[in-house]
Amino acid sequence: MKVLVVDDEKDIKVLFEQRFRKEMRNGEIELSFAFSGEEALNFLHNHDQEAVLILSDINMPGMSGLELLRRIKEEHHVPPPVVMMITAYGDADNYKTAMSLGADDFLTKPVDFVSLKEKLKAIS
Amino acid sequence: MKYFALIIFSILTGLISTAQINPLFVEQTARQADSLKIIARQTNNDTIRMSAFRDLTLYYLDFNSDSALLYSKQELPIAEKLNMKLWKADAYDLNSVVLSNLGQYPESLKMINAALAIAKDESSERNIWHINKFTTTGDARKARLSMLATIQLDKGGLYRSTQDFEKQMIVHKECLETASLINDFTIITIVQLNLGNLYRDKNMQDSALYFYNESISNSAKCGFRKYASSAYNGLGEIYMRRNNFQLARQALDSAYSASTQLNNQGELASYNSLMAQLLSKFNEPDSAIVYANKGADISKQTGSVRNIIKAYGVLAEIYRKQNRFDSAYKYLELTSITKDSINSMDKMKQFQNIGFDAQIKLQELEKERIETKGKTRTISMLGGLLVLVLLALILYRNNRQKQKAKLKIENAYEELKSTQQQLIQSEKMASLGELTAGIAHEIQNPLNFVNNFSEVNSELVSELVDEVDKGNTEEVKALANDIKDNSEKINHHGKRAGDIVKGMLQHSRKGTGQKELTDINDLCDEYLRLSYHGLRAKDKSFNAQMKTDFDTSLPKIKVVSQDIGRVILNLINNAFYAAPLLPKEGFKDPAYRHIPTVWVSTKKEPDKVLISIKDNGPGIPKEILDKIFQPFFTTKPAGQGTGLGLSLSYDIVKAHSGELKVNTKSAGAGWDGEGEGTGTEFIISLPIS
Repeated sequence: MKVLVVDDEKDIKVLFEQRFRKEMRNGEIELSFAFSGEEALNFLHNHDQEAVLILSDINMPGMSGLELLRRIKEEHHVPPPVVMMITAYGDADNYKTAMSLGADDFLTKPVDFVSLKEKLKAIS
Repeated sequence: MKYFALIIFSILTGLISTAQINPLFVEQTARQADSLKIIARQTNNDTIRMSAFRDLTLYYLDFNSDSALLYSKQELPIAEKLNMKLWKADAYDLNSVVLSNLGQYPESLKMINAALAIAKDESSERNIWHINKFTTTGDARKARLSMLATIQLDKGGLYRSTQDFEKQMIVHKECLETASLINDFTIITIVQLNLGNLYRDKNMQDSALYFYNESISNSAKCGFRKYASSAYNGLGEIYMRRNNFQLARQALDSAYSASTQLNNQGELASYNSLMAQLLSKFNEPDSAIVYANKGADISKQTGSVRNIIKAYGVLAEIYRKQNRFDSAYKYLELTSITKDSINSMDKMKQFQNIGFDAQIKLQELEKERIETKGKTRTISMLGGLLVLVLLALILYRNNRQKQKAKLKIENAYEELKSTQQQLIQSEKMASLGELTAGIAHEIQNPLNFVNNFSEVNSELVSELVDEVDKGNTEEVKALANDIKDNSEKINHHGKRAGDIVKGMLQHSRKGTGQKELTDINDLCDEYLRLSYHGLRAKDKSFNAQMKTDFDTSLPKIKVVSQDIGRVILNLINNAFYAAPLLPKEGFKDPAYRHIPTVWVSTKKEPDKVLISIKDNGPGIPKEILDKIFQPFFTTKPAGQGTGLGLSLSYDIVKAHSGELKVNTKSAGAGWDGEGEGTGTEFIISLPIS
């Protein structure tokens, strides 16, 4: 399963790689990273239909996670990738907006990798 | 000499005051009058001179009006000057009588009224000099009433002279009342005589008899016999009218003895004329003629025209009865000639009376005017009072309303103040809420790493133990490296969180920095680089031009460089944030390529240093311009700004006695050309000394 992780925090890459060390080694998960919304869109354009799951931060400079979500849901119809929003803000507004834009799930930081892994298993 | 005069004066007045007669009516003898003249001439004492002139006036009053006038005129100014009230009243009174005798009735009336006013005023009882002059009792009230009665008596006399008998009657009755109050028989005697004469002229015989008899008996009581002969003559005349010749003869006999005793020539003349009439009735014409001629002779001497007429009339009547028509005619003619003269005198009097009447009318008018004035005054005072009361009520009501309003306003103000406080608080809280959200984001991110990397590390440690057991050295080394890297990341993100908290606390922290001479140009350069590279490091996509124009003549100034540095950094960060922002409406010129630019410049002015930090961003919208210096106000997305930067900067500049100003041109219509001249410029102005 190809997963695209979008976050402006560079260290997210190291974290995910270490957290999914075993899954990556087993070939269960293939991780890609983008550090801004724009970068993520570029990736999706270049790697059409490759990413099954997109994990995106909301609060990013430039294109926000929510904008990215809207664009993804607009542009990539069939089959729509599963988009999970990750944010430090657990507030209702962000949650509602994300859900109305078609987000498949909503996670809050600090990320609970145990529950994330269970969600990923459910998808695949 | 002065003392001598005083002694003489005292002796004279001492003698007078022992008599029971009202001292005001005690006349001086010719010898005493001579002494008084000497005293008046020689003394420097005003009171003694005044008193001497007064007595001299009285002395001359009945037989030498000119002399009386001379002395009264000398007395008056002294009395006025000394302002001894009763003495002044007495002076006015005597002047009035003198003027009346001279036929100057209007002036006389003025004087008598002035006297009356003083005598009616109870305050005139205070401090009466030589009170014995007014009363034998030494009682101040009696002294005043004695003066008052005298004035009323003289006023009645004045009315008699002007032939206003009704007024005379009124004033004389008043006089009688006043005199009776103090049992002053001198005045009672005189006023009763006058009333008797009045009723005699009106031919009210019973009243006339009553008053004549009363006058005579009172005269005997007090020993004031000056006018007793006049009363007896009156009695005689009334009895004669009643054909009671016996009583008439008795009365006339008394009149004769009284008038000769007192050498009263006028009354003696009257007596002779009356006797002539009586004898004529008794059919004794020869005796009658003798008496009548005697009467005429005396009257000629005294110059009493009325008595002459009376005598001539009696003679004409006697001769007519005897059928001696020549003589009768002669005396009738004499009578008519004399009557003519008396008529012309009456005419003179009438002429005088015109002035007198006018005077009276004037007085009445004046009185009326005063009354009207009084009424008007009362009405206007009442009106005024009413207005005042109304005004007071209105004012009271207004005041109460004002008080109420004031209370309301105060309450409202208090409410407003507390609301404002609450508002500020809630705004703070709201900003704090946003801040908290920002802080949440900024702290949750590092926390995310701290938590997860530490968890990963513990996993890695277990793996490491496994690999050690397996003896897989390479894998152990790799795991150890990962663990080390992770712990470094944990440390890094822990520090990051710490920095955020530190920055948060900066706002509340008080400056402890010392002021030191600082090169502002260096400071600006330093923080500009710091900001630029910091932003670049944070965001590689960040790209903006920076342009500097430092005034090399800028002197070093004393500032807390750390604080001012923070202000400059804050403003430059803001500028770098704003510069790349695009106008909401987009650029009017589609061909325009926006290059985000930040200008930092310094300039020396005579007494201050200016630091300008300018961007070509979209500018600050008008509606928020007045809020930018408020704490917690920010336009940045949540978590990107605390809203404390400008507020802090403002406080720091203020603490340096400087100014922080902003010029901005908001994006929109003006945002269609080049970036220059648009955007926002912050100017820090710091005093050189």
